[in-house]
Amino acid sequence: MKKIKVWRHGEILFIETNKIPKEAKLKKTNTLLVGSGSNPHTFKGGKFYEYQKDNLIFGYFEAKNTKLYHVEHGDKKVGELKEAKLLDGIYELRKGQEFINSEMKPIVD
Amino acid sequence: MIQKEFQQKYGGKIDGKWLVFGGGLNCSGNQLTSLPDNLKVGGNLNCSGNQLKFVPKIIERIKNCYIFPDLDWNDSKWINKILKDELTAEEVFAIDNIEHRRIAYQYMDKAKMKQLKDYKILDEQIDEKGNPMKILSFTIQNMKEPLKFYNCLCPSSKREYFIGTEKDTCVEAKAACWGFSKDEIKFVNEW
Repeated sequence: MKKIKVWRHGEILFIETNKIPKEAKLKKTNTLLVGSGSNPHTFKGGKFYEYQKDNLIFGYFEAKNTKLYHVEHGDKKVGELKEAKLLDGIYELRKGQEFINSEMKPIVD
Repeated sequence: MIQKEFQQKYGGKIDGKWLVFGGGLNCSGNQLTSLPDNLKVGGNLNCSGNQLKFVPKIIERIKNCYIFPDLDWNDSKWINKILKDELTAEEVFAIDNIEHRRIAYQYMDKAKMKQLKDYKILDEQIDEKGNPMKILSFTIQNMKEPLKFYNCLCPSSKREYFIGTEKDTCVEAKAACWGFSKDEIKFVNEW
């Protein structure tokens, strides 16, 4: 079975896919997610589409010359943030979960 | 450092009984062991990277408060329990917020792990970035099933995390964090 390629950026998983659901809504934003610690996952280049499913999937991302930014997660320091390059493509976005009190729940951070 | 020295070093002003910083206050990366308990900060407070043993209750009035690096958190009660290493290992692993759990573990005397009943390491591996990962298991009072945590390091920050899991192996636990089985996905890169 061919494995699905994924990239992890902190608590966000970028899952390689080939289409964006028509129900997904393009958002005018450069922020993918903000944790409770107030450190946002932002990007330059690319488009974020909001889509919620099962408390797990929170969106889709169309990467084009995309760079991801976060205080902690990245390959190199750019000012106060770390930068990571994401390959062009379409990605499903999932937030990390953990097994707490006998059920899987979104990680609280 | 006494209050007057703190005031002089960081440029605060006395307003009535308060030592006031009109905007933000950044006193990170010093050797501070305490903060003035009459502190008033108009903007953010960043005092991470010090040797604080205690924080005053007034931090709860500060909207963006960084006692620990990159962590905006102003609950003085819990922060003081962590700084004073007053939590048991069970209490640390019962913390809901994964970043708070991380910090509490960081400050905990690791000898307390021995207090965990039936403590076992079910699996131990090296991840794709060369960092260790483990599955820990232990029992807590009144629970039939042991608790399990996937223990791993962030490859970017090298911070140590404990993620609740029902899996017995690291590879399964890692995939399960994202709703996958271990054979479904391949991690191309991680930050």
